[in-house]
Amino acid sequence: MIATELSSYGTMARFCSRKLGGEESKDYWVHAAALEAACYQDSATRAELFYLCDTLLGSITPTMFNPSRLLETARRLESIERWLLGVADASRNSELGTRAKSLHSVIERIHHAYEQLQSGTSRGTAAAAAAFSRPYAKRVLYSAAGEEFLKHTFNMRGLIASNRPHFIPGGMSVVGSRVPDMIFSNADKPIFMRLLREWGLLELEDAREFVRRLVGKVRQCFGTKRLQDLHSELHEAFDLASEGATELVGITPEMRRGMDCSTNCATALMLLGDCREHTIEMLAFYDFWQSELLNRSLRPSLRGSGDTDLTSTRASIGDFSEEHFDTVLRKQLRGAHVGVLAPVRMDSKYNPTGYKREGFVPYVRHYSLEAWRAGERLSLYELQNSLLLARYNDGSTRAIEPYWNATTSYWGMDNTDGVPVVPDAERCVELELWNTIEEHTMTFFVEEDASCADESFLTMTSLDSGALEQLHTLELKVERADAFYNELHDRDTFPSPYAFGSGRVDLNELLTLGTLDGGSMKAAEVDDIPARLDEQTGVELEPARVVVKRIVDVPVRLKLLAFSQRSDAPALGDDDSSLRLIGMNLTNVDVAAELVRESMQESRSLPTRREHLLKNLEQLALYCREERKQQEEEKKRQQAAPSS
Amino acid sequence: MYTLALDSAHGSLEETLLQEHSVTPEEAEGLDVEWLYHVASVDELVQVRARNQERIRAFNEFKRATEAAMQLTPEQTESLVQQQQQQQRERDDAGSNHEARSALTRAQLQAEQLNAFVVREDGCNTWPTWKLLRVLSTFESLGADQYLVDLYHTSYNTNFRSIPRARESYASALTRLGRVADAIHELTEMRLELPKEAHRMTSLLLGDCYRKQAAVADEAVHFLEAVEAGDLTNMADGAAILQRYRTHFQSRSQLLLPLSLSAVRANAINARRLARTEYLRQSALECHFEPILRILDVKVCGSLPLSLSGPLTQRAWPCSAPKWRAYLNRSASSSSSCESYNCIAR
Repeated sequence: MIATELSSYGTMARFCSRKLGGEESKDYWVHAAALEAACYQDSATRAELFYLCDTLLGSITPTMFNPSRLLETARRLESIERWLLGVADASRNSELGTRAKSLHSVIERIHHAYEQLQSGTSRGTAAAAAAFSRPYAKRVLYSAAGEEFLKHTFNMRGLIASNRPHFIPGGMSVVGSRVPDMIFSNADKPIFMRLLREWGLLELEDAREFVRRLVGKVRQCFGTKRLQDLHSELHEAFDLASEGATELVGITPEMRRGMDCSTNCATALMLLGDCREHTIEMLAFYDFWQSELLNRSLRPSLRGSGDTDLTSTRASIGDFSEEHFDTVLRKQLRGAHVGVLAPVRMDSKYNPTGYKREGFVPYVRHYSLEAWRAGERLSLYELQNSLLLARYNDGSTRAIEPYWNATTSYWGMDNTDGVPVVPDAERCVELELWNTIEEHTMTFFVEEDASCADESFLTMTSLDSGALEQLHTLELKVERADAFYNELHDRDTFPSPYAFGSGRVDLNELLTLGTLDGGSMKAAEVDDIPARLDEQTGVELEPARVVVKRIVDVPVRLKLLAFSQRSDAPALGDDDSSLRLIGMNLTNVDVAAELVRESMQESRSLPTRREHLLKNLEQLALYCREERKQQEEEKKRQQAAPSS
Repeated sequence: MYTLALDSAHGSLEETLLQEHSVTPEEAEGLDVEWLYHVASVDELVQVRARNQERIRAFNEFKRATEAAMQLTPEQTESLVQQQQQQQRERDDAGSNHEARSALTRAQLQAEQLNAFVVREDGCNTWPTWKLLRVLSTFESLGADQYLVDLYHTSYNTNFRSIPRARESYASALTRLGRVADAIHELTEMRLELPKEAHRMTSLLLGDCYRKQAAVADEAVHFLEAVEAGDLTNMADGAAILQRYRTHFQSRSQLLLPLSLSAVRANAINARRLARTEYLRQSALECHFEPILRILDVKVCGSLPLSLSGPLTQRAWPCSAPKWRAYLNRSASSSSSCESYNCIAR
């Protein structure tokens, strides 16, 4: 009887660890908990225990890991093993005895890994430590395309439910750019709860509908419609205000790298944010909502009344629905850092060549197989940032991309005097040039599809007996669900340049084309009229110009960037009870009330307090720039003085 | 600034000290957002910026000072290396324990030096909250429980002493030091004083305390049963067992603690029930795997160590001393008592 009750607790603990990121978690203890909890489960197979063990060992980063954690896990498993053997003996339950034997093999595996790791780290060489992870590489549960997609996208599970604050490193502390480290702590939780309730989203149960409505709310908070055009004055004002906020907390541009610049998710909503903040807010809200949805269903099962009243405890555990948990957790919102690619002309990253109409319209860039054969060159930007897709006569494709050539110390595609090198050129039937317009951070709605589980089963091999066991793979259904470039919102007043708000993507294209479908965008077909020169003197009589022929739709592709992956880490900040803005605690602040007030003011077309604050921050940024300029001039004068 | 209740009945030295300790602007700690919304000119923002630059400078300076204080002298480092080499030569039965010992010694030395720095600077009387919190965190990561408790006890900064994070760390350190009754007292007070949202780990820590009590009471029950059966061979250990039982159960207000077998047995059962209730409470609060696993521990592996690592309680740096210490303690008593939880299971 007690084993059955413990099995239910084990199942709950496993779901909780899945809620906290499961196999994708960067936290060792989440993996350890999943393995430990599985040992109590009646349904856990030998293959599953080995799978969880390998996931645990595969999650270890040898150079940063304290091997004694493995001993702690092994010791806890040993205790469970002894208990299993004890119960198996007493009740003559052979199933429990078999599970104990499997567990014994798992423990041996962990001890083996510990010894390897210990010898690797004590020798102190990175190579010795790295060798450790090879036999325990994470096993694949998804199709190859699905695995590739998951590897380069991230959710915020675990980060939301953790009792310790977690943060996602931003560009400010890493490279000195604009985005601060985003943090989610206990101070955010009540605000998120209140906002979701205020917006009528808390009680929703349909994930897709939740995302659809959340996009609208997040866009409203950030005033996104004014930011979509990166070349507009409104976006420039945004950049200035952001700079002003960083200056206000005492961080100058030179001090940014390595500085504590954590900003709570809730605080960002109240101030400003571009695509990066949009994604983080979307993920934070989604995972917070999902966590609340699950907690609501789990809480009654955990309200036992102690050892004395086992009947009521068992009854409440009986209410726990594995199916509900599984259904909810199969749907996720995932973020990704992507390169936005399209056949348009580029000056430099973020700066396409084009003209202003109602919005900015870039010119189409044609580069075909014929142009390549005629020896047409690519620009330096294109050689270093673009993707050239070659299609062959057997139906296969090959992506030609820039890479780092260590011998020539050159980053770019292989080329001969600007003309790219196309492998197997004689078999090539088509060439497509995809220029990188910008790097963007966006969200995808992902659903695990159990119904179309692949026929190809994953084979698990246990080390000791060579026995084969199987686990099935899962398919992923993926849709674009970006909040920043969303074509479904403000389409008449501030249309989005890209259609990243909707549309299904075919993950297999990640393997065949190296990119994902990103919908389409408007671009202008143009004729290039060369400059007219005086035949005798060579003097330019009329400059070169372009003539716009028509506006067309060109396809857009999304490339998952190499650095796009889960990057959250525990924030060892001192006190997580107050909200922070770029490393500074805030007082006298009520984010939820402020946002509600703001939406009321906007609905009556009244100026908001945020607008006033952002204006002031812009002014501060300008003041600081001026001050710095004067200081530099003063320094130059002083340096020049002694020599004169 | 602190607002002191000028109650003459409590007009003590403590208040005088608090009044003398005027709080610096950085301790007002934070950017007043409501004020920000009403700023009329950029000049005001420029002043705030200058103050914040000062704050960052002060923080960096303090960070440098504490790091310098914890720096081991060349002699200390040399002695550590020698110690490690000696242990490596001996290759004691616990395999590579020498590394753990060395890390522990290093951490102890660093904690000692940091504590000396706090005393030298009169930190407990003069430092603002953020400095004290930083030192507290460092003590925590170094596993210096006694220094942590002393810092909390002797600090006059009421702001610091009222921060839930500091109080939880204090209670947790008390538990590790074996002052379980005091820890329960502190945590129960916290539960009464603070709003619900602030009880993030209170139930988990209380659960740990009760579990520790249960383990000690079990030990006492075994001893008293043996005595009752006429087995007096273990009397020397018995005194220590009963003393441990007393420190775990005797609260400040309690003068006498009954030591009859029935009372001790009742306490053991009660403590186990309370532990489970607290873990259930924590589970229902946040639906985290860790309290659930601890419920399983209570039911199955009652004798597992209390210094469980994990996301909820593991606040220290990844290679912190408490883990090494736990590891050493475990290898010292390598034969764990599986009998007790086998009994429970049956």
